[in-house]
Amino acid sequence: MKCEPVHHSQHRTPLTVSTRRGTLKASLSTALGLTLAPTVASAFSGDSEQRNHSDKSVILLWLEGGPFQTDTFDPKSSSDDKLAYKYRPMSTSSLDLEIASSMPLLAACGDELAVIRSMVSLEFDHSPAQYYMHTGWRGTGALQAPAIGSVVSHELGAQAGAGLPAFVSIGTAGYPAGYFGSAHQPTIVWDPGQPPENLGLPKGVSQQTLDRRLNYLKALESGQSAQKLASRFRLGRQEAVRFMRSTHRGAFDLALESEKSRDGYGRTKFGDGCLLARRLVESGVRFVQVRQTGIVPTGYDTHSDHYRVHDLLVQDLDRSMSALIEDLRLRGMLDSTVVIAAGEFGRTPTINSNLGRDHWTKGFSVAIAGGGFRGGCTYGSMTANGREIDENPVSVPDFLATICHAIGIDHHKEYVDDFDRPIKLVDEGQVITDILS
Amino acid sequence: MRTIPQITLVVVLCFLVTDSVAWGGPRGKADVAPARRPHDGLPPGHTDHAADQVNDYLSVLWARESVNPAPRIDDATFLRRSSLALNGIAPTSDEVRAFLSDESPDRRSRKVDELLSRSRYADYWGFRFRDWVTQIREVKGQSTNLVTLYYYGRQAMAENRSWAEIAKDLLATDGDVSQDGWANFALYFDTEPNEVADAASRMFLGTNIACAQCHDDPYVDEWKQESYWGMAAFFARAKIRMPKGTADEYYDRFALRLRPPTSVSTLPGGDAAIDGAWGDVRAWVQAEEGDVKIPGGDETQVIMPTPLGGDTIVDADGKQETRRSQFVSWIVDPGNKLFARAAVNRLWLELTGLGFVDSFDGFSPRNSVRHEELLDVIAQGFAEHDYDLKWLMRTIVLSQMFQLGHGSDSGISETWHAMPPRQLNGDQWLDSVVRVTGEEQRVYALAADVASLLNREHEERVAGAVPWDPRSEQTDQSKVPRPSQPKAELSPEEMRLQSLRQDYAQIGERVAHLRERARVPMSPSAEALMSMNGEIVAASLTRGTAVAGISNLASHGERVEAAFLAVLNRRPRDHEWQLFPDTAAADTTSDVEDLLWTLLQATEFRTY
Repeated sequence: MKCEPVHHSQHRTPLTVSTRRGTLKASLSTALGLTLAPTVASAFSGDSEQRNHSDKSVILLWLEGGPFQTDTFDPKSSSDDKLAYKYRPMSTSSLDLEIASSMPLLAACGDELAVIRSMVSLEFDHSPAQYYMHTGWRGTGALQAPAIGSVVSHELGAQAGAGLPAFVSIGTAGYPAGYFGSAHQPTIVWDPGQPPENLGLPKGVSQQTLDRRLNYLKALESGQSAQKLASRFRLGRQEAVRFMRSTHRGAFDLALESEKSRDGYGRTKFGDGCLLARRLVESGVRFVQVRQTGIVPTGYDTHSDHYRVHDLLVQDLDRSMSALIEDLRLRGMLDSTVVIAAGEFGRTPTINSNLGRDHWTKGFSVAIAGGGFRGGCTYGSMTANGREIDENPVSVPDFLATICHAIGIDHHKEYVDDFDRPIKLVDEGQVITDILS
Repeated sequence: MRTIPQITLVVVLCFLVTDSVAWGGPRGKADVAPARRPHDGLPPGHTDHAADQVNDYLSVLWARESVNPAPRIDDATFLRRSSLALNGIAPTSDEVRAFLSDESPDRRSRKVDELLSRSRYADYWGFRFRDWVTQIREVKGQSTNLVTLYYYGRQAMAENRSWAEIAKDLLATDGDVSQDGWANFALYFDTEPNEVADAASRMFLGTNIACAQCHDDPYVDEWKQESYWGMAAFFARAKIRMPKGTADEYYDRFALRLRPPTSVSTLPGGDAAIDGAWGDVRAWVQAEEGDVKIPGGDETQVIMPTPLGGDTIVDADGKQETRRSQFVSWIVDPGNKLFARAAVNRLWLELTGLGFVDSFDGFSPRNSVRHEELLDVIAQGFAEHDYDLKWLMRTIVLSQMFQLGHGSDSGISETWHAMPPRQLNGDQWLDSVVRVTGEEQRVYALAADVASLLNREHEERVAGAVPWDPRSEQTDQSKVPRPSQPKAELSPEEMRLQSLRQDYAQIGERVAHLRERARVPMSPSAEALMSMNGEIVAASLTRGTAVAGISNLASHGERVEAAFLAVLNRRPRDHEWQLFPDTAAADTTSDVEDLLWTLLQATEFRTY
């Protein structure tokens, strides 16, 4: 990994905020490979942390593998055989925005879309680039940085009274909670048609059986000293049982949606994930990420057979994302919900010998709708051949700072990590105010 | 990332069942992995000299600090704690019964020797070893093969490879990650010279110099940016090599020497149940050229290898040894005290939850070291025993410290007068659940049944394959024949075996997935959900042999006792006999399921 100039704030002693865990415990648990949470109460029950007040939520449509910017949000016309663009720019419902003709349904949502066309990543391989895009830090091992979902979980928690987790990840285990600790790991839904991992009772176990067993357990553990781990287990169990019995659990059940609504989202894994994301946000979940999976296991990573594979994914994205935006708008939720479509990088403007496109970090696109972002606008641009940034490059920290700002999180806020170092939530990021309304 | 083609899975399965047969049935063959070196020259059971040194130190410490040590744990607790600590799994109830009826004075030290010599020791410490590598950085380097990294670790632990030899393997030995697991260390850190040096410092010197990558360390004057890159320069002359053709072609045509030569898996699902990514075919090999410069610094200034705090090796490339070997020679040199200190601290943390510094890489001129005098004594012993990990573990486990009762007041991290209760890690939890429920026995029975079939398929496959030698020039794949697909008419018996094999493969895959999940950091509620509703508990209770075995016992009392021995590894206390109602007449099976489930949720089961 190449070294970059120092980005993080110079180490200094006065600290504005401190983490909830002592360094000793944190480093011990790291050393032991254990998963001790910093505190017993989790994000999920609305613990005593000081939280920002915000009515905003986030849905991140995670386009893993890296979609091709020109086939999506940065359309270009060229007759150059080496570029071999399949799609043309298409006008949208906004006079100020064109997107690729591969996405006719999203074109109708143009007046809601803010598009950044000049994103730059410093990481060229998937795994580090994904880490970077989610945390704003390069994974050098010098810092255990929290991913954006965990940041939102920690800073905002779930909407009050929801009884649901703050952070849900659909189709992926997500990215690390870093120094915010395991309490801010996402609740995982592997398949949007199924409840979250381990939420349902196992086959052959009834509610009565569980109750009976929990009573035995209570008797067995009564009179035991209030050992730290014992109370962690007890509170975890109470929270788990509350979650299992929560009346809001229906938020996870797509069967409660109308046929029409399900059809509208396309009934693919990703479409179902988008629909589930809307249901969850509606019920108070603060951050939902939906990984686009189901059609092609390798996602957008089209090193070969680009045209066929990419088209399948983009059609899926077009339908599901447009349905999501439209649905949120009709329900009056779009102003309070930020919808982001992003991958870890883009793809090469030139087509390779396998009819594929390789990784491209020097200018790719991200689209954002709702939540106070300005619809029908673009920020930054690439040259005609798609190889250079023409104006306004946007770094990954800039992007994350802008998201934080839009939902009411102070991205300058500092935490102390496991090594006693003051670390800003997003380091050196500049908020891009031009795309905020 | 790539998925592994089907054909490879078949090969893996072959290994796995071969293993299970060698291992020999449900109770296990104890001595597959003998220690290579004698522990300390003393006869078995003799009080360990090094453990005495620990005890003497602690007595003085406790008297000076006026603290009362927690009482010594009883035999049942010792058996459970030492089994979990050294083998990553709770003991069986038969083992508990036998240990409780053993009245010989040296039973604890004999038990420790037995635990250290089991296959389970290597199975478990292979995972720990792999975690020691992967905990260094959250982002895994492209093409890292986490499965062969585990196999290497397990093999090293099985043969009790010296920690210095392990350092040499990881840092200075060429290899192909698809078969030479050690080469994954460099790949995990992208073979970038600075990343490898940085990781090597944390792994083997317990020292984190990462801050100095981009700027002089703000806390430690000695750690300049130039010191960091001077360390990096040791790894500048090595590169990645890959075979011609695509990885798929490789997997089609080449034998994978996946199974380490002597260590065999006793894990449920065998060698196929190792979680982790397979990676690609890549080798890390010596390069003729390569230099480092400080990024953004003087482009004309080549940085030469410089040990941390030492002098630049100006003629590094004029020596017999490669730069990488010079690095290893420097870190394992007896004069470099950090090498042994870091290993002692790491295992102290692993086995007791307490350390001389608070993390495996917490040594730094800015941090004070607790009980430094004791650390030096043990580190010296470790060096004198040729960096023998088993010697070190034995010393710690036989010391009074490991055998203290639990306590959690804040003072214990300084005065070590009690052991902090610790949560089972994912491996300890999963393997113990599988054992307690009797699922383990069922899986091994299945493995033994299909072994002959998989052995034959394995032999046929190996016969037609050629290994790639990353150290020679690239193999011309056009000359390598594709292995013939063995096809014959299947007899009814073979068809039965085929179907059993599928079951077995499915279990292996499932266990690997569940292991991966159990290792992920989780919120307390997610943990509770996994423990209460998760597949591993539910399915093991339903399918395992324990419920049936316990249900068949004649009386309620026997059933309760058997359940406590199996799950908590002790007999019920007086008041506990009455906690579970005797409704045997109605539905014993359901009662026993309730009983086992409840004990599996108990804090006592989930901690040690």
